[in-house]
Amino acid sequence: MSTLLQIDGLRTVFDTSEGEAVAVDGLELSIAQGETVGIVGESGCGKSVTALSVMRLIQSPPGRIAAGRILFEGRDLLALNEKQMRSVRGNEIAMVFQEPMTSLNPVFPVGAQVGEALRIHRGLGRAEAEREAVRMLKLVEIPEAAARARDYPHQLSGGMRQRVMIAMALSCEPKLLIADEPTTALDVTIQAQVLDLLGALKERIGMAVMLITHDLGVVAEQAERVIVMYAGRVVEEGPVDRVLASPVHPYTRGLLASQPALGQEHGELKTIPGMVPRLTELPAGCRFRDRCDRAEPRCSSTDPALTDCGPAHRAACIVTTEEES
Amino acid sequence: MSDDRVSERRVPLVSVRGLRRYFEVGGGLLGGGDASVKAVDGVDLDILPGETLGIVGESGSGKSTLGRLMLRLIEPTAGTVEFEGVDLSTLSARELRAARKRMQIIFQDPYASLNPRMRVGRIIGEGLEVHGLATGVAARGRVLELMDRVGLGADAYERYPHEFSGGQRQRIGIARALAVGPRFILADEPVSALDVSIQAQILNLMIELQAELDLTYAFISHDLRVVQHVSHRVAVMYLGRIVELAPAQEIYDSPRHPYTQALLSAVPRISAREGSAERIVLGGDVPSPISPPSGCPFHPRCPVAEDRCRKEVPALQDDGSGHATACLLV
Amino acid sequence: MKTLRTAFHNRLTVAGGVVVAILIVVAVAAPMLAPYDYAELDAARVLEAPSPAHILGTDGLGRDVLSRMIYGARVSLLVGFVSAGLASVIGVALGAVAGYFGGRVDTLIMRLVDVMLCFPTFFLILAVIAYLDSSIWNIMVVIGVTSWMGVCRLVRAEFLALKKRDFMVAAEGLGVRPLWIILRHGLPNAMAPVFVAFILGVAGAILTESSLSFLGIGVQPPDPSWGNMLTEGKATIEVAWWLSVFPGCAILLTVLGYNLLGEGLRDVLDPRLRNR
Repeated sequence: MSTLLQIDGLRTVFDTSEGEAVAVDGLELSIAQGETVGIVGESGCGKSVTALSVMRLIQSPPGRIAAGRILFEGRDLLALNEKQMRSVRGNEIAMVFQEPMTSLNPVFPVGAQVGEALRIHRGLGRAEAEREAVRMLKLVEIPEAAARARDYPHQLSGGMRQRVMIAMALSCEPKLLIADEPTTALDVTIQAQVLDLLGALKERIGMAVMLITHDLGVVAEQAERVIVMYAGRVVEEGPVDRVLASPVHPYTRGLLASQPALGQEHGELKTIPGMVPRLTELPAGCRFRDRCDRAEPRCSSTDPALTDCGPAHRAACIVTTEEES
Repeated sequence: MSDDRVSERRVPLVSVRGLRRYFEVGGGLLGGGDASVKAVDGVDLDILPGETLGIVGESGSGKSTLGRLMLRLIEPTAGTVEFEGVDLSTLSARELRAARKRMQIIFQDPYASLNPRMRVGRIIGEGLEVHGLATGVAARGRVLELMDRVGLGADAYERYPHEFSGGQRQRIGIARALAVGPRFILADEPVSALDVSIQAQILNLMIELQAELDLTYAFISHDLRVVQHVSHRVAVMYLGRIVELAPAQEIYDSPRHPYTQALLSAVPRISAREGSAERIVLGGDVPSPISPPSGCPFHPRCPVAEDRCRKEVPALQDDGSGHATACLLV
Repeated sequence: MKTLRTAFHNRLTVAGGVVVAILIVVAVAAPMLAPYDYAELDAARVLEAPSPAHILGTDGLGRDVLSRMIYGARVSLLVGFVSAGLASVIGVALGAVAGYFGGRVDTLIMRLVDVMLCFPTFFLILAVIAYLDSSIWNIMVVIGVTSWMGVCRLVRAEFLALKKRDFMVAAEGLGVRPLWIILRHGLPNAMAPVFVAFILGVAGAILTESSLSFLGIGVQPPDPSWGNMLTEGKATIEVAWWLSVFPGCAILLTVLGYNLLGEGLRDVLDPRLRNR
């Protein structure tokens, strides 16, 4: 499998009244063709900012991409001008957001919105785009697609709207789909439907997926590889089964331990004490050390790099990776 | 968590019978339209002292409305709510306000549940003031005590809510609820808006407080993992009705109602030790409570529905061992 | 406060604020600023054009126009603030009760608003003043009692939204009495639009008072009001332009100033309200 997306040393910052907030700091990430990579982390870890950086949708000001390269099929997206980038967005790389109600324009029927990408990127005429849109809506299993195409977003349920978003994203058969918390706002049974659908579609189109979520279960079932982020950095990455079964980084371990396991006997949940550091006041050395139960004095002076701790498995912790080897 | 304290049958703390709440929609001035949202459509429930009753359901299940009905923050359309043996609807406004000391609520949204213009100390201490439980120095002392118990630093007293994180605000909300010394706390999605690692902190806190202060919880949530962790018994709601009610472990080990089974199977598993139930994907959307289906409310989406399910409304029936199901086929 | 800082970014708002500030200072310090007593007659210098002795000229009875205008500012300020203040108090009280309690109380109050809006309030004021006498207090009360409807609707809208917010439900859950909930929890969070409505209300009240005085049923001579100065100037407008122009400009600038300030504040406060 060849590499579709390669991010090197991405650094995205935001200028705030309290100083510079480094949302993403030196991120390295690669996604192969047809691969599904999950990015997990809690609020403020930088996962959404990463997605927006790839799409170059960072609002500037106050944000800006300060450093790095984002290679998509060999081309550096950061070097493209806006016109070139526009032909990439929605066409080769598409994005699905968390809140379908606010991501869909409330004054246009959904069919028209699905067809918009087709008209822009494939130059289809209005009638043809409409037909294609209905076909897409059928593809995402919306019942009575032709009638639904004329509905407005507020007339559809949350699950339906998310399917519309997926139809929009897939209309030009992108090579990479970025899904930012696509099912977080949905009920559990609807989430199951939508994830099933995504799985089937990605097989059919052969597209790669960057799946961003805070839900470890979703990642476990959907992704092949997982990347764990904390305070703007990658702290662990590897095959999803391995990382979730035998996590190495103390943060990943803490994250897994603090989730109640379904159907298991309940003892006290192991928690990660404290809070995520403010992005404007990041500590020197390892960013997790103030909350880490394995921290040693050297953690405050060394910035841990991602180190091998298993087959295709890396973690950014000097203490625990030593144990593994 | 000591389950033995709960297992013997005792006088229920909260007792709900035939509870219904309908909201009028449309119609009105222009006449016609008896369209109403049947948010809660016939609920019978007992909550025993010292237990945590988990209430799970998806959107439109009516779980939040049920919670507020229990505290008489909303008036029922029909049915009764008894708290400590007293029918809440018989209380005058003043008696009800006094009764509120015994039953409190913790909200979902830590950003909306605190008055942005009040300082934390005052927010927590307001209950003390209103009910005349403590004043002046004594009140301040009590508030500081509570803040310490929930894990807030004393310097939070003079600060405003917006200076705190979601988890800390939730702690403020818990302290506020505890200030008046309640026996019963309705927790309406108390950790849903928090990050996973913070969720764990708050859940641990709530469990500790329950043991320490002999609290009874009604824990409403859509998150099955969280509910099974904190609850002794779990009630599963669908379209305003309880479809299954059983001890927590049983709901997860042997769910009987088809909806419960589908709900459990839909939760994405993190690892193999969580079991890998075959995914039952339900067709259709989560229904709107405006026009519920005839007969069993679940029948349009039920994978094993039979003809009679369209005509008969199943009642919630206990099998004798404390496991109740509302399904004609069970 | 960040709000104030952002408000100052808009130059027009600042200009409005400056005008308002100047007026307040002038009105308060009137006895010290006015070069002459406003009723002092000087038969020898009747209808004199602006000169070094009388910067804005004199009127038909030899009174100094500048001094009369300075005292006139007092009238405007007093009427403006008291009327708008009264209207705000009534509007806030009724709006809060309507919005918070809803149901029949709300319907009743809103129908009252509708009825009041149906009245041509200016004529109502005329009728009342004609019936009672035109003392300044009567004028203020009447204007106040007929211009509370806008504030009422604003506050009602705020409370309708506030009611649903969890912290209001929490207060009810704690057993706080409804009146207390409205005063302690609701009002502090609903005051922003009231503040704006008040400032705009002052402008409206000043305009109304000037109109009444112009028609002769407001402030009576020899007490000066910009409105009644315009009446007196009307007769001699061809020979003594200064008697009409200066009071007229004063009214214009004042109302403009208040409006700019009020609207500027509204723009600053509004998006914040929505964000919350």
